[in-house]
Amino acid sequence: MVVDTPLLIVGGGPGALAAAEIASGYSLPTLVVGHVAGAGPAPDFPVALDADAVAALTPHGVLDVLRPYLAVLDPPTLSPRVFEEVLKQHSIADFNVTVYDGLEVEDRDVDPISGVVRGVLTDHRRRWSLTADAMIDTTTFPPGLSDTVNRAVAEVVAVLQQIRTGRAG
Amino acid sequence: MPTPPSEEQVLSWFDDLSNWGRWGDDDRLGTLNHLTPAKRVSAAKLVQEGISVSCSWDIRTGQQPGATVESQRYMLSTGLGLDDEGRRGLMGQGRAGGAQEFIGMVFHGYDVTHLDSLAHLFWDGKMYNGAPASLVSDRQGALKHDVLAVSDGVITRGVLLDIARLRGVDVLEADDQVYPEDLEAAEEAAGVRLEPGDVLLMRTGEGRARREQKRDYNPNKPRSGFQAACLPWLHDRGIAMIGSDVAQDCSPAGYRTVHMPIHMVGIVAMGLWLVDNCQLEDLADTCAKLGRWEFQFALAPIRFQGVTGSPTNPIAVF
Repeated sequence: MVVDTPLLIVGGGPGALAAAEIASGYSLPTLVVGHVAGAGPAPDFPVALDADAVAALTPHGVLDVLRPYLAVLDPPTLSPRVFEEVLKQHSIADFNVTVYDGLEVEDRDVDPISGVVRGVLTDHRRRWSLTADAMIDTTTFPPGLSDTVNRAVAEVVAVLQQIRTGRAG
Repeated sequence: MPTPPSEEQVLSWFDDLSNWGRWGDDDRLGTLNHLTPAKRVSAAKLVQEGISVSCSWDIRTGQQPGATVESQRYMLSTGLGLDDEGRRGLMGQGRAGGAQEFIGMVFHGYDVTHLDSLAHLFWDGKMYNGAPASLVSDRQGALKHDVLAVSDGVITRGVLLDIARLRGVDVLEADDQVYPEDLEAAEEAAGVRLEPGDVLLMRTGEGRARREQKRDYNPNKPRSGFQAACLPWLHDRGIAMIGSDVAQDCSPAGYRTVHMPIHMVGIVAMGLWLVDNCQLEDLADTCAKLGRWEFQFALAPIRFQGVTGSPTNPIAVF
């Protein structure tokens, strides 16, 4: 079987789930692979989201999902781990998002023109051929919560543009 | 292995398998219309040994694998501190006491055994029978197709099709998806045939993995389940409700735009009632012990007004 998804997200961190939720808000089916919550620096230290991150998370109700878990309401303040755990469970319940834990993408190959990704999805027992129109890899995202959210937004916008035009940015 | 239907074919089933209007414009029962009074009477005759078996998992508070949000328990009163100074009344130590709690949960997801109402899913902005999705709102919940549609419960014939047993494995591999051919082979092995108004329970064995791995169980992974090809089969057989030890759909389903086709086509187009995350290990053991795979099935949702389903404890009676 070929797993064919419009958007593949790999790399973990809060940015992966922010990107999945924002992409879902645009009705873009998304596959999140291998996300582990709390893996970043100072995962339990509450930090305030900056104005750009708040503006990015407010549409599509993402900030509403987080609101019951905020340590401080204004500016919205929470730890990266809480951000990840809450959005992860919400993503799993989202009918546009599939979350696979404990899997990896191997033999990844990205077409430099179209941005189309081909690879193999594996749990080290079975292998599925994987095709994605676009990929967001969060391993290079900045460590700060607001910075990573803002980067996720920028990446989703770029992916939407890529899918519309058929060309990687 | 059978050839899976194409994405175009699956998408065409939103129309071809649609039950919209079949039982009237105001219908709220969907495939439960197949369940007749005569069917209930006939199902009651399956009770011969007087044995009942739960098909549900325990609901536990705190973070659980597969739970969308951790179920919360807040004790309003407990048995602690009854001898404390401040709790003694003017008339001396009180003899009466009691305990009560608040429970909060999201039952949808991969943890709690639950019934999906026909308000749970939308396709192109519509619910079953063409009701607009906007009838499910923050303020009022589901104004149409809430779980009150089945307030009187579901009492009918249940049939367990044990595909893991058919294959001779503990748990189906994730890429071993269940096709109509498998359902029919399991029917033949069990000496039963699904009929209109029946509840079909399908076992992949995933419950065994969940039971053995406890808190280490990972529900967010590829896993077996009904392949989309089962949809026409369920439609043609007039199945009233399905349940399984997974969330029905195999994952990955293999489709770009509809990655839970059993849920999407089943609920929205067919009005098919789903019981996700059943615990079928005890039922499978009982069926094997008694040598029969049909029984009386009973399910009663909590009468939540405006809610898109209900945690439930389905019971099989032999």
